[in-house]
Order: sequence, then C-alpha cells, then structure tokens
Amino acid sequence: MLRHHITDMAATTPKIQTLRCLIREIRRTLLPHENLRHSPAFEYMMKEYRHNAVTDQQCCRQQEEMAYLAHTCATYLEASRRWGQTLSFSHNIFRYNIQIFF
Amino acid sequence: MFTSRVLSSLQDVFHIEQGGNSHHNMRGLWWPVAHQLLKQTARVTLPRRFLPEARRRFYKNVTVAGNGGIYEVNLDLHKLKTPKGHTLQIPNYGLALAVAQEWAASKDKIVPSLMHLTGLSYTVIDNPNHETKWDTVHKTLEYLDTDTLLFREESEELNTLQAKEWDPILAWFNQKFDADIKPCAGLFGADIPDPVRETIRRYLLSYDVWAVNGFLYGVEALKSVILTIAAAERKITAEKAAFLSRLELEYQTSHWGSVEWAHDLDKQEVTARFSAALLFIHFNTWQATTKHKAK
Repeated sequence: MLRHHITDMAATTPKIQTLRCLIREIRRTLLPHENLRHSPAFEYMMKEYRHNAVTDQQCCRQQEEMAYLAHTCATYLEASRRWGQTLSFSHNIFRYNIQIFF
Repeated sequence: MFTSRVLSSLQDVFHIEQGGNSHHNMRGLWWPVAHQLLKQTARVTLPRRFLPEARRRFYKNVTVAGNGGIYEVNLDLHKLKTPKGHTLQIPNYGLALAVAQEWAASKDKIVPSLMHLTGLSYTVIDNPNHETKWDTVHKTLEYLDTDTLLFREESEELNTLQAKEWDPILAWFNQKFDADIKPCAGLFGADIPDPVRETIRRYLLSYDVWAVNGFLYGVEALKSVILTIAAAERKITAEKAAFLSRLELEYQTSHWGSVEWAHDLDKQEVTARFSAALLFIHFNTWQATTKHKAK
C-alpha cells in the first residue's frame, strides 16, 4: 500500500509547530559556546512571527506567506540535515564492508 | 641498431656534435623536446582545489552585516566571496541569514554540495555562463515539453494513482494560464501550443533575475515546470512537490521495497534542492508592508 503523503501541510500544520521545528533545527547548528536567543536567525524568526501575530483581517495574505516561508525553511533544514546524516552513514557502511572484505 | 639510427637522425636534426660525454649530448638532445613537452602540459591546467578531502571549518562565527538592501555574510572577520572573487552581496536580509545558517551548520567539514542557497547566490552574482534573464527563462521552458506531470504510465494501477495525484494540479495550471495541456503516453513530448508557451514565458519574466535562477534550479530538481510554478504560487508545499515528482518511484518502492541509502538519499536530496529553490524564489519575491491604525 502506498503511503499517502500529507497534503497541504503548510495549511494544516499549526504555525507554532513549524516555529518549534525551526528552533530545533537552528539549535542543532549552534556551537557549544553559542546561545540560541542571541542567534540572528532566531531573532529574525521571532520578529516575523510577532509582527504577523496580530491582524484584524480574517484572511491575511502576509501571514499565510510567512507561514508558508517558515514551513519551506523547516523542510529545507530538516532535509539537508537528514541528507548529510544518510550520506555519512552510507559512507561508514561501505568503509566497514571494504574492511571486512580485505 | 634501431636506437642508434634514431639517435643519429635526431642528432642530425638538432645539429649536435658526436663524441664527448654522452650525458651532455643527451641533455643537449632532449632540451628542445622537453621544452615543447612542457609547453603542451602547461595548457592542461588543473582547478585550484582538486583535493578529495573536504575543507575543514576555519571560522568560529558567522555574521550578517549591512543595511539598505545590501547584506554581506562574514566568516569571523572575512567577507564571504564568490568563486570569481566578488563580495557576496545579497539584496534580502532573510536570504542572507539563510546563507549564514548554511555556513554555520558546517560543524567540522565544509561540504559545498549541501549549501544550495550559497551556490544559487554565487551563480546569480558571478553569472559564469554570461546568461541574461531571457536565456535562463528559455532554459527553464525547455523542460515544459518533457514535464513529469504530462507523462502517464500504461499500467492501470499506476495510471490511476497518477491521475488522482497529478490531475488537480494540471487542472489548476490550465486554468491559471488559460491552456488546455493534456497528458500524453509514449516517448514523444506533449504538444504545448505557442501562445501558452509565451504566456508562461511572460509569467516567468515578471520575476527578477534572482528568482528566475531559483525557478531554473527548482525545475532541474523536479524535472517539472508545472510543479515548480504550483509551489511558487503556494498551492502545494515543497515536500508534496518532491513527492509528486517521484510518484512512480514511490509506487515501485512501496511494492518492491526500498534501498535505504539510495532511495532515502535521493528523496532527501530532491527535497533539499527543491525547498532551497523555493526559499530562494520566495525570499526574492516576498514583499511586506505594515499599516498601523491611528491611536
């Protein structure tokens, strides 16, 4: 059975969930001496979220655009991290197999 | 005997006297030949860095500086520069932060193939192929004839799945560009009328040169102009677009199983490339204004 992908995830995923995902990804890239709250990327994200939090319009295009951008950014960071991890994992597997062979 | 004949003929050619130290004669014999050989090998220039080992992280902090529409990324005290030596000047603060984030994510080794936004920015600033915006849009439109969504499989189950997933997006695309593009079966491409092609060309030309390069990168990742435009118009997410472009592969792996470090790697690479392209398009297109109510 083919696993169906979640459709229109940017619309259904709460914006706060996307923000948490983004913060998780940024925290992973920080060095031990760096603080998340001082990171320019974190400050920019929080500023944009607070800026678009309050609107008197029921359907605000700017808010939807920001939510879509945040979701795309989270997708990119997660996919890049997993790609790097899978690549290094596969390199280790092949290196181990070659060592066993020789 | 053969060697002595060759040597004697070479000596005649280079007017070298016989006798004396053979070593000196050989040096005099080979110098013009060696000079020619050196000239030929000098034409073959290797790239500046042709080392298999990735460069280690040489910086501690990555910062973004600038204002007024030009932002630069700094690695400690050094400005980030393009391969041609130009300073990387990005017109959007969000995009500059995203590029800085790519460099900050390198923990031990710098892997340029993981830095898609940086690579796209380099391409736009350096323009190594000396292409205009029209050339880039023309390259993008060449993928329309062999768009992924227009090729349907003959087997019934896969054909049904393709119709279910792809037809709504194709219908939206036809409505947006007032077209009647139909899917095809077989090796030959779909028949795209010229007025429709020109409409899509005008649509792509309405973006700036930065966003147009993002479009080309996205289309090359998915092999689909329709999916890229649908994602740029926020009709589908980047994940969904990557899934739809790999629909047949997902169908086959769901039946026959998947090879983890091949299929997963391909899926994550396509998703990363396309989401980077989409970010690049949106950062260079998104404009926000705020109006405050009078208190």
